[in-house]
Amino acid sequence: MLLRLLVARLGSAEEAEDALQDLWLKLETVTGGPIAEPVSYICRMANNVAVDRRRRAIRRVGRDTDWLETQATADEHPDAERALIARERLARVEATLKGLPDRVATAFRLYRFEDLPQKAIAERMGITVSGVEKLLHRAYLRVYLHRPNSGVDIRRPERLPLEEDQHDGR
Amino acid sequence: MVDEWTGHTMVDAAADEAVAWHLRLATAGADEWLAFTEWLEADIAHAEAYDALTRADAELDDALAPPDWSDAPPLVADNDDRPAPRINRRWALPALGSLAAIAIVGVMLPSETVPVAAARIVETPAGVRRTVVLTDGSRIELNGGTRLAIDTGAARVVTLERGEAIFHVTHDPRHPFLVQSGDMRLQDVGTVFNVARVGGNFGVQVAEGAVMFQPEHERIMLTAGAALSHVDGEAPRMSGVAIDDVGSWRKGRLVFQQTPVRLVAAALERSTGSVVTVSPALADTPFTGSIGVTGDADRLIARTAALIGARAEHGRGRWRLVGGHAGS
Repeated sequence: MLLRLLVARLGSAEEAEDALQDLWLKLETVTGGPIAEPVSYICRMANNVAVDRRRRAIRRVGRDTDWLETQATADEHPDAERALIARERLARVEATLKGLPDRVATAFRLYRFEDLPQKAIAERMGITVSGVEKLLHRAYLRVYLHRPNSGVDIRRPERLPLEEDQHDGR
Repeated sequence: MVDEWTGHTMVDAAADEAVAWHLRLATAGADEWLAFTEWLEADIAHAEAYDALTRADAELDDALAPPDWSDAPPLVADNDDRPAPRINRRWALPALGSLAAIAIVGVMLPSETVPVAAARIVETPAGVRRTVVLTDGSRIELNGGTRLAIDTGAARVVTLERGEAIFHVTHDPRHPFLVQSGDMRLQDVGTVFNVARVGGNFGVQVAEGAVMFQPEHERIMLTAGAALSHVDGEAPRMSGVAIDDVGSWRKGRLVFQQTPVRLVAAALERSTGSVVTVSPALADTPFTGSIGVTGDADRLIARTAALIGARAEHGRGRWRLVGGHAGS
């Protein structure tokens, strides 16, 4: 199941195996209380590992996207420069949210930057959870449309695994 | 689907579904994860849309957190004397096929817990504020130029590495909330308090309730209206503060009482994002006064210099406060 998820996310069995290794390493460093929903928890973590790997892969291939390059080396910049970079990124976030209705931006900020669950946002905003979901849906569509490299066609580095190709009759 | 807010962009169905999945997965159970996997497999356009969305979403973290933010804590450095990790990978790998096996790994985690410095780093660039809410309901407002490490384990421990933050702590007598900064520790007794660190200078001001300074050492109880400042290597100094002035940076007002000019400069920098340095001759001169942080940063810094009785020089993207009379 995990492997299948990772193959579907990463597009190759080999990548998925590597991601699984990352996942076990992460699980070894986990601390804290009991986990209520272990299956969901591990699936979420696997999915996060997939996101990390995809971002790194894009960074390696996307030499033309200098913004991502900057980000990878931000550690090496002196404080003032880092602050500048951080401000630029923040401006990007603000630009993404700009023009959205206030309620959409508010819900998104609470969800994304204050890490409140949808239920808590619903209570705070005095609306239903499905109302919150609608607002967040709008916000995320915007995030999708305004993504930094949306103009660049980034193909996956590898094709689908063999069995998928066979399904297609190739 | 038409994006009704920009009115001109067509969002393809795959993107729309990707967003719906992204929101659902936060609370998804095993069945939904399976359904999600099937959705990914159904069409490469699905996988690509979801991939693009999650990468764009992850970029947002970088806007507000330093690059070293990650779900996994960095492995502990040199002095790491943890026992070797105990989850047996050789055992775990063949078990992948079944959800039951995943459940076992998950259930085992708590007992496999080893003490690790797992912390979530929250950082603001100068000139940018941010609020974080912790799972216990405590709220931390970060001033600009601030870096905090929030313990992600069971303990309620927050480390202020630099900058300034105001803490609204949900009091729980069984789980004390600790704020540490350098060698200084504060333990809440149900409270709202402001903490700042600039290099070797540490300061705390209490607006509500009480907080204990150095619970293992001096055990100084600070109640509402109390302020304490400390310079590394010296004894702490107590003073008072008007309760309304605690954390007044949130309202765009900086209040100083016998504050060395170099700390005033640091406060200006946190609020405006402009780099402000101070000539050595002026650095320790005390300043008492209140400054409204409004409008243009350049004019604000010049105005502050005048209040201090100094001059503000601007060059190479930074400000420098120098003595008002015969140069610095």
